[in-house]
Amino acid sequence: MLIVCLRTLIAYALIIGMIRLMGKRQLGELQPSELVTTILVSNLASLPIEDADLPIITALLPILIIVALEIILSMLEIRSQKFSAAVSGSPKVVIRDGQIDQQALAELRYGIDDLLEALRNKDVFDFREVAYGIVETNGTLNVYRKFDKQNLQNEVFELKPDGCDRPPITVVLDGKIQTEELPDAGVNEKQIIDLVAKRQIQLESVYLLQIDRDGSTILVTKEETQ
Amino acid sequence: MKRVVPAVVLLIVAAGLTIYGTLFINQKTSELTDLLNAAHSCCTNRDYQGASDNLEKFCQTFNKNEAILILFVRRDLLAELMRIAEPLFDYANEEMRYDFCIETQRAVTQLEIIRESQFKLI
Repeated sequence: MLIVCLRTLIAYALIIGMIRLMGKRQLGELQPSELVTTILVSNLASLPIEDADLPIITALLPILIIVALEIILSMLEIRSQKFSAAVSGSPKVVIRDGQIDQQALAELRYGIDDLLEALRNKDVFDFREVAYGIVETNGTLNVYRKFDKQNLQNEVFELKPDGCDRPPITVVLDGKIQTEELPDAGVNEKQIIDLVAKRQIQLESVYLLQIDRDGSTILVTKEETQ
Repeated sequence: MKRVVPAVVLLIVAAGLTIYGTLFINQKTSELTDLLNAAHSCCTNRDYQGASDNLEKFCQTFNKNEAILILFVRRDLLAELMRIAEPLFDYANEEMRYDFCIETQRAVTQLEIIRESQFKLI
């Protein structure tokens, strides 16, 4: 009995330490690799508690390996967008200007019922109200409502947006041009390069560049430590 | 970046433990198997004193390394090995020669099970 208590304490302390090490990411919505880590760690931690014959080191060793791999994997995901897309996938636009992109839904194996349910969770009962509906890599749907549906004032007074009716679009992420996003932003690669050059900074030094709906740019440069 | 260092340390610790455990178990199970085989062959040659000496060495080696073995090997497997090995001293005589041979072979098989629990691929 004492052994079970001691093992439980050790496993509990270890898991707390590992979750802290994995960071806040682990506590929110889970990416695929994080989900796998969480499931495996919780199962592995219970083994030495249930089976007193199992050596605790042998039982807890896989947890150390999984957590270390998860941290290294997330670091690699930050470093390489291609790697990140391969491991976690990339966000997909499933509703554009009130139109459902059926092909994108099929690729995600997202049924229309799933989409309508996810929309209802966002208090959207008519998909035509949505300017942009994006399925994130963790499977959640985020919506950007059309300007006139964002609040009652816009609808009643028939106010018009300053520019396009869309959220800011990311065109450069971590020094890399997001070519897939350029058509939505209404710019081409050369314009982006010129835009960055005009600010007298290197493209590699750009952490984030977004084109806002009124055509203005939001630029964040990389900090020295990155 | 600050989390990568502990992650690498964890991997190194895990690799170190795995390598140490593997080498340790490999070395100790071989040593123990050799002692049991030596005891078995002594008994076959009717050298009961030699068989007892080898059994004594077997028990000493096991007891000396038990604390580390228990970190890597299932307790029930080790307990079963000692359960088989302990009565062997009583069998090291002419009358129980046959039982001694059988039981030492059982202990060798148990050691092989311990080795397999560590080295079997899947």
